Amino acid sequence: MALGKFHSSLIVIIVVLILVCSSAHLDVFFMANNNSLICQNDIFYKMFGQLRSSIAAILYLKADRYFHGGTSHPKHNAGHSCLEGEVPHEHVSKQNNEIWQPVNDDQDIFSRLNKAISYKPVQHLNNAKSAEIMPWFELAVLADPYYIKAYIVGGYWLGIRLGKSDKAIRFLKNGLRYNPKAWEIYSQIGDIYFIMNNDYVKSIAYFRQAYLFLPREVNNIEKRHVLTLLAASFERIKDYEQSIHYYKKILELYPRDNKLKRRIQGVKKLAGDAQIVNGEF
Amino acid sequence: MKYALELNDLSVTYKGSNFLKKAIAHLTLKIVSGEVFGFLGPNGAGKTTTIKSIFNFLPVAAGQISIFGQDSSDYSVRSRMGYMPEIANYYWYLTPRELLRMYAGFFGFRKKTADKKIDNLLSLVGMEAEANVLMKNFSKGMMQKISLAQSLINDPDLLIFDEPTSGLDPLARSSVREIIKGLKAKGKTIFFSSHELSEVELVCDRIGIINKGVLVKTDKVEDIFKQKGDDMSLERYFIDIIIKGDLC
Amino acid sequence: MLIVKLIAINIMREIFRKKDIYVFITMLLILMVYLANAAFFEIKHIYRYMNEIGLGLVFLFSIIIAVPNAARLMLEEISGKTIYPLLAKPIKRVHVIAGKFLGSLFISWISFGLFFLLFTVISLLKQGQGDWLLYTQVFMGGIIMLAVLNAMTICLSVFCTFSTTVTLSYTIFFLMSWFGANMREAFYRLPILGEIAYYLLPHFEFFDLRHRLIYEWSPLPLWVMLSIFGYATLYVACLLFFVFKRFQKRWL
Repeated sequence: MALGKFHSSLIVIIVVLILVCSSAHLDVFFMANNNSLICQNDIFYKMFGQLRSSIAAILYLKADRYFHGGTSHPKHNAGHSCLEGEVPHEHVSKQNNEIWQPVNDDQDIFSRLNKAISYKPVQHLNNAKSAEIMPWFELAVLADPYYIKAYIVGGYWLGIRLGKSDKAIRFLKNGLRYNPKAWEIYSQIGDIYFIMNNDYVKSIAYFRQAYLFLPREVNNIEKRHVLTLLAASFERIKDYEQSIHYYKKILELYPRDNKLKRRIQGVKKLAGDAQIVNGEF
Repeated sequence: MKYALELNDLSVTYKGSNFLKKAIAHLTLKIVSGEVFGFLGPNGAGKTTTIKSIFNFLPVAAGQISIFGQDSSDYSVRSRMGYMPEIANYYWYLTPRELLRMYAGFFGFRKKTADKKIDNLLSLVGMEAEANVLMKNFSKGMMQKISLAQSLINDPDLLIFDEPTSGLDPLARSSVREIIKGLKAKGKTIFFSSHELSEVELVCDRIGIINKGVLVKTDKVEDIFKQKGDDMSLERYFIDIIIKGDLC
Repeated sequence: MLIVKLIAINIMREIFRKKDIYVFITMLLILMVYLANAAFFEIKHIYRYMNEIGLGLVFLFSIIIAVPNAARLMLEEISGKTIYPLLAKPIKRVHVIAGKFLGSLFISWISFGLFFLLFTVISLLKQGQGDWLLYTQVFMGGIIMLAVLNAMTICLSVFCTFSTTVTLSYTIFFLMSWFGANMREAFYRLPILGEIAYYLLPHFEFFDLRHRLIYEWSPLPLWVMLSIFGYATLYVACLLFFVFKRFQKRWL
């Protein structure tokens, strides 16, 4: 007996959903941001690439919105979003210039209704609830595997704030599959090995890669971060020579940093003490 | 004399963005109760427009329409009327029974009464086997039969049929003629337009011929044959009237 | 009232016989079950993403059913010539409008109700608990939104063709849902137009209370719910009045 129109269309829908849900990697769909010559010259792939990037950006913003409990606000004066900030902070009413205010405040009944329905003072989710933001990072990279920011911020939250370092590393390594020269991802993996796993050998390996791929135009703050943790990792495994080598590289960027100079002196002293201990003098 | 339908100096004008057309001009017609009246005319003469204006589907530019002495704009008068439209289109997702039940509901019939009426009507039009079949696969002839059935749901005193036998096979047409004769015997007034002049000959008491929106002639059917003799057919009579009207 | 009810029931029969609604229910069920079982980084006890996507689908599917259905009701009745035997019965044109609107509304409400029920069951199974008042308010918001959407679509359908009606309905709906609050600012170069749009177009963003459930905000105070309801009632009444005025004079 032939299937009716309804049953046929239902089967088609179920098959499509299964394909989507099985997360089949349709690489051809993701070729748009690939540097291959074919993709660069193909308008179809370029168009899709732009759409996927836009979707991924929207999904990333969703994470930010979730973190702020359902409201959004402009970036802080520091220029980065709250998700990217290393230092946890709260939005307090005194900081009026950073608090989102609804437009047309109380001008008419519509504005008042809108405010009552859609406005809430901005606040961050606490640690336990902040896990709610994680799905959006995974969805963002699913939409655009070349969206590096989603990997590093997601990896930071997963590995360092939520303490799931193994999953974070796996997530970030997946990002490296599509972005093999993304120094940010190497750096983030290094951070997790250093801070959470205390695995300095691996952190060195990743920070080295990050330093290798660091573009010249990256700002000094980012360079300093990579070099500092690389140097600190060497320090932890007592390879003081390498540690001093990398601290000196930071000094080249910040020649007047007296605190850094004292740090280098400190490491030299440790190196000296180590030589005494090992009988080298 | 009681009139079931009165059209007094009726005029209907179609207005477009850049045209104005008088579809019916000063039409005056009176249908006696219990009469079967055949409304004839060539294509585009204004037959359907006249029928539509009776039901207020179109606004009238001038004139008056009365049904059993009541103004046609009074919607309650339609409880005594039955209408079979020219194009028999009904809801594909309903069965004939459901359609007739809905229409019966409009007249305030209770379910039991309505079901009895529906059974009788479906039997009358020969559709009892398809009573619970969805109408989406019905042929034109089947829809026409349903159309006839729905026009009789309220046992109306005045019936208005627009091409009642269109799309029917000869057997079905014969059955419709018998139904019309049966209704006439019950004293119903029937006003219908048709192109099947042979059938009009058989069932009508009186005919009216409309051409280009003007009622050119009304006459009793038996008088036509009395005057013109046995050689005359209604078709010839109709063509003569139209040609004469065109020449004038 | 009986006549209006009969017309409304007639319309509802169609949607269940057309089976569109079953396709959407099936799709929603599959997607919700998938979302409920999805393990993002194997983190347990996270569910807001599921509420967001689930509620989004509930509203989206309801709108997809509501708009085309409402758009074609009057148009199909007239173009299909089923209006003639209908109006030949002792019913007024206003009965037809009321019946069409109610039928379309009940279809929207039934489909929305089924979708929402499915979402609620899966959501509460995943979460373990929930604020019933919030769920009720979101549901009421959706119901009211569909009433305004149906009225607006039927109103457009008596002036425009089917495709124009559907396009305009979706455009106005999404425009006002996303930018309704900032309509005046959006038209800063044409302030008069902005004012007209702000006050005349329906503010669908008032009825979309999903974010309160997703982000677990507190329930709305009663005066807000009553204001939303009053605004919607007034708007629907105005729209149906326009429909009636237009349809009353329409040549069939």
